[in-house]
Amino acid sequence: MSASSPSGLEDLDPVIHAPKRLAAMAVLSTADQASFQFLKERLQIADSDLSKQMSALEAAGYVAVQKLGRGRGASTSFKLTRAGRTAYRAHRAALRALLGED
Amino acid sequence: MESDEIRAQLHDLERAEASPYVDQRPSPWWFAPSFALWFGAMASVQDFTWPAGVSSMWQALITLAVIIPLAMLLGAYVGWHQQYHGAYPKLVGPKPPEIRRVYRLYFVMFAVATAAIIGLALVVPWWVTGPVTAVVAYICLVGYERVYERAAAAVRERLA
Repeated sequence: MSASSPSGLEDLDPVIHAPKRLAAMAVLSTADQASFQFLKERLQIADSDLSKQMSALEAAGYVAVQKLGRGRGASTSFKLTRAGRTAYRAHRAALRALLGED
Repeated sequence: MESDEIRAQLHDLERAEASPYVDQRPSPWWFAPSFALWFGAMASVQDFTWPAGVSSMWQALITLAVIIPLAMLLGAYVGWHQQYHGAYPKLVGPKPPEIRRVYRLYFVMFAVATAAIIGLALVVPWWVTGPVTAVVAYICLVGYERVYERAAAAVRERLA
């Protein structure tokens, strides 16, 4: 628990606290990059839902999007930005702190 | 937030973090033989004995003419591999302990095999070094794949 937030809940990042976005951040935290398809299979969600979640993370500056090719063969992949990596680590640490494991 | 809820969330995070390491599709059948040939070709080029009269400039040009396509092949493979597996796990940084052990084994195996091949190359001609390297690489790659899959299965089971 941090000194600035007695409950510790304030240390949780609202952008990545949503379970699907948090899971996507966790996958990306240990990968140089991950494709849209890989994330979709791991998170077991629909294309539209994943697009929405990743757009929110991109808007927050937490992930960078890379698109390769056009049309049917096109692929989209994601990687964590430096800000995203920092935010994910902080969020994870805040969760552990709530358990008193920091 | 309840403690149980947080514990469950951290467990889910650990599983998701392990995913790039343990949710990979199996390597295609041609992976080990083609990489064995690649290593064999590299070893042959390095150990090649030039006939008398070939200038050092020609030696360098011919060596580059062989090594550059081999390097391009490797680059093409890395690009294909990223597409095929969908996620490229980080070499450095936190990873499941089971996988960390396999990575360690890989680096030790690679160092020992490289030292053995270099030692061999000092006493046998290039046309022996190449095929022996290919066979050693094939055995190491097949063995490594099996050990890795066992470790990945252990992680999946632990974090199920």
